[in-house]
Amino acid sequence: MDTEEVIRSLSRELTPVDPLAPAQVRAGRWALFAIVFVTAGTLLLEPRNDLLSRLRDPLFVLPNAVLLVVFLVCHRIAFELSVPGAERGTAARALAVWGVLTWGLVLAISHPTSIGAVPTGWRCISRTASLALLPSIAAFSMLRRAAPLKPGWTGFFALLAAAAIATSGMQMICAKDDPAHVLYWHFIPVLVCAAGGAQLGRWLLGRRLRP
Amino acid sequence: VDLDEQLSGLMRKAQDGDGRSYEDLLLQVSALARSFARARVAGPDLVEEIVQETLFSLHRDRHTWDPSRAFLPWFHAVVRHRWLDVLGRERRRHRVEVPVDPSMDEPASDPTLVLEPIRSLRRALALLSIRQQEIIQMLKLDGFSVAEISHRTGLSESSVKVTAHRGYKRLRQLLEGAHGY
Repeated sequence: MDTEEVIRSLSRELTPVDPLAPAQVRAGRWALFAIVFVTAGTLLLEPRNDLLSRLRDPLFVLPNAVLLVVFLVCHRIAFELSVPGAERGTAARALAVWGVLTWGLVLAISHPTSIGAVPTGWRCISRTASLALLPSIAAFSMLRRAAPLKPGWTGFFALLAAAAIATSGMQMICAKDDPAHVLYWHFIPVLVCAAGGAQLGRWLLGRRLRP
Repeated sequence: VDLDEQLSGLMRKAQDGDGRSYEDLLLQVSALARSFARARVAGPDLVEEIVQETLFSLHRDRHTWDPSRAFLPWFHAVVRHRWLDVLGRERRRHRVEVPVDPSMDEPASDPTLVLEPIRSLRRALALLSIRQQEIIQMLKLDGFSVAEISHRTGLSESSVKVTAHRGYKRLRQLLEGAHGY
């Protein structure tokens, strides 16, 4: 079939469409939903008893501030990547990745205990997963409506954002401040989640039959 | 009139369902895509493949263009990625290209040789785009009608037919290249 025929065929089957809202608007809607959901989930799962005093400690506040910055940067990147031509340079992506890695590095330096010496934290994992699940599903379903040209990266940043906000909530619940616990049971799951997001992005947002 | 303004105007009307403006837009952007592709790939077939892939993407993703933004950056992102897709596909094709087997010209003395064309067909099918593979699979192997595929995939019937047609054409080229038929 030659190109002129393709053009005629596509023109014949044209139907009106509602343009998607701008990427930043959709990103804002998702962020609002994620913040409300994680806040409600955190309150439901009961915040730690010493939360108010811990919020005055810079060593507690700083890592959480980093997580919130990662969340804010990553969700914008994911939604911008889902619209052709809307993506920005690599500086924001580098900032997000470096934010996460700096947090991990600080944890690793402050307590190089092996994982065997740390009590298991499956409860933290399951709670973080429950806080991240709905925002992740919402992000993927919103991103699928757009047209991500880099599905792996889009999925990576979407799940990194969801994991970051969920882990931030988890930090308000979990009373174990041991850096080794935070490293193995709070930080590494964020990385695993982001890596899984890249793969999920390729499967769910990649080249597919999209209406 | 600035080209971007002109194309943005046509795209806005196309989003509202104006077929004539859409055809005009597609004609203009196909020329842009063609000149983009000609500067990057050799061979008219590849150029047209990039142009057509771009048109399909534009059609499928037309709702993602924000009318308050410029049209050309959006379009260039689409055409650039379709070019990279086609380029990647071509590289994979060349990597796994089946060498011509001289014994294929002789009558099959061994019944197991009958399996060879089936294997070639499978290999060639794997080199098509995922969309083409899925539609040909549903149409020819799973026995679905065009209407059923259209319903299952959300694509229009004519898109299904166009995709299948392009898939068959590509399959024919791959098989001719592999066996010198």
